[in-house]
Amino acid sequence: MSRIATPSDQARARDGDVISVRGLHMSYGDFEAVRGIDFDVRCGEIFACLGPNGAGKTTTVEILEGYRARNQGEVDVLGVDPAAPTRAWRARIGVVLQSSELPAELSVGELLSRYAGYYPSPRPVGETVALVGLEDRRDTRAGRLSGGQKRRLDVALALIGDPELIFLDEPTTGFDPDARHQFWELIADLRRLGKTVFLTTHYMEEAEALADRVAVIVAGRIVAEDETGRLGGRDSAPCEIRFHLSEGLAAAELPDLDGDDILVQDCSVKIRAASAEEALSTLLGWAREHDTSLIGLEVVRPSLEEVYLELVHRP
Amino acid sequence: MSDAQLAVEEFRYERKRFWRDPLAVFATVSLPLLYLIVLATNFGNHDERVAGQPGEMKTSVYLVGTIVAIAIVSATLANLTVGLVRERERGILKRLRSTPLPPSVYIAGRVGNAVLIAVLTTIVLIVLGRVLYGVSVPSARIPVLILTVAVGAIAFACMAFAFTLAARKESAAEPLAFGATLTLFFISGNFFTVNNNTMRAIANVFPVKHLNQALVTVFNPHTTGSGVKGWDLAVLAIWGLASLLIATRFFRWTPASD
Repeated sequence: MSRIATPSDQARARDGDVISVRGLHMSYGDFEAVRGIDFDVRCGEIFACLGPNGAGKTTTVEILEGYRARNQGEVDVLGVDPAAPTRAWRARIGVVLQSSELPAELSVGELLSRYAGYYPSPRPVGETVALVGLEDRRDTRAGRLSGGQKRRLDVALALIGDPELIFLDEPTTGFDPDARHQFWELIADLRRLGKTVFLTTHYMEEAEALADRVAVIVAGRIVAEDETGRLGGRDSAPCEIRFHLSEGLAAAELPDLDGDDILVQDCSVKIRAASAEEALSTLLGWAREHDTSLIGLEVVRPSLEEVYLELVHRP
Repeated sequence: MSDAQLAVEEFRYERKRFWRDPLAVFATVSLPLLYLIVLATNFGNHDERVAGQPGEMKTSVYLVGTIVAIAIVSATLANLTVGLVRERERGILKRLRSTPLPPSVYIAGRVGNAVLIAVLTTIVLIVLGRVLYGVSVPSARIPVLILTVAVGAIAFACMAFAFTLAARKESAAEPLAFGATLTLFFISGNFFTVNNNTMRAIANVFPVKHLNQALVTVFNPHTTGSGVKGWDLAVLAIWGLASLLIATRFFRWTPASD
């Protein structure tokens, strides 16, 4: 006989779930920052929490990290309620805060050795320094590192205890594109180490590059949650085919594409194709017949950004 | 690593940090030495009668006592308040709170370092007083001196943890800490004896004057008996304990804006 699940049953992480959240609410005075959210994070995945500023991302992550109390709901992180964090539990998580500095007077190596002492079975300092690419900065004091290097040191400190779960709260805000890509490679390395990563970000490219699954949070509610490639039906939405016509060919000469929308501006053509394969095959045949080429041919799925903006602005 | 070993490690790192911060070293260690040299060179040779102290003593003897008090208060109350507020507001303490390091171990390391600075500066001041101004500590008073420095340093360190509550911004910590301590130094007679009765009554409520009295007693050659100023040490202990109670209840690890 099946019994009705109680809230505490629901929030107890299933096998393979590292984080489990049910009906989470948090208000500051009259302001409801988080208005009842549910999600699970599975072991070994990179889970991104995406949303505009003030959507409740940091409140959520700080509840999971054990910094904040909550008004309502069930939360389970590695089998523990983070509202009552224990020392042993803290040894199993790594935290990179949205903004935190490090003691400027200590070097990279000193800080890592210091933090290593806090944990029962830390990773070797040398290996961790190498993982974040700070080998040549080991003797540099934290105060003299660049912004990107400081962030990598932050990650190294979050990893030094060899945690199972790592929280990254908007880790690349303020980075230049080069530093951001280097940072992404580092996070991808964490996946290879088998770590579970909970990431908050407002950069679509970041979620796209890193996350296995994405939850979009707007005004304290999750408005969509799915695998990154499938969020908001991206995988089945019509593709856009883009190319330029060579000179001398008029748009009117393009073949009929079974009712797909064709938009021509000067020589630039955009086609919203229900089936990219069929449209392409027709187009390529047509190009061969006319002995011309489809210059700069691209097939583009709706980007995460387009899906996201639609979700965020949906009434 | 046991918690005791961990506390020793924390103390070691805090010590490194402190000596690598030239501004902190100047405000905490160099200033008291400067005060002694400037004041004792100018006024040290007078004989004066100090309220509550037997006989007459050279002003330099009085100044060694009160400036050791300044060194203790600067190394503990001022130094810790400024340092802790800075770390709190910069998220350094918050980050530390996500690790398994017990808060008590962190606090032990910090207080240990502050006490060490207080002790070192005290020793340098006593050596300077001896070499430059002929002020000596009677050997029989050394245990009392150690007791007084220890009670003073620990009490003022506890006060720092409560005092961090007064500063919500990093930029406020320094003016608050230096403003409060400097005012107390003036009304408690750390730079010159205070004769105004109202001012002395006010100073009596606060802990600095009691540390002065206990320390000057140690250096006063006319002191008889054990030289332990029980009441003054008790007032320091009460301030320390009250601060500790407030701090255990209200001390924040996260920025005030969080």
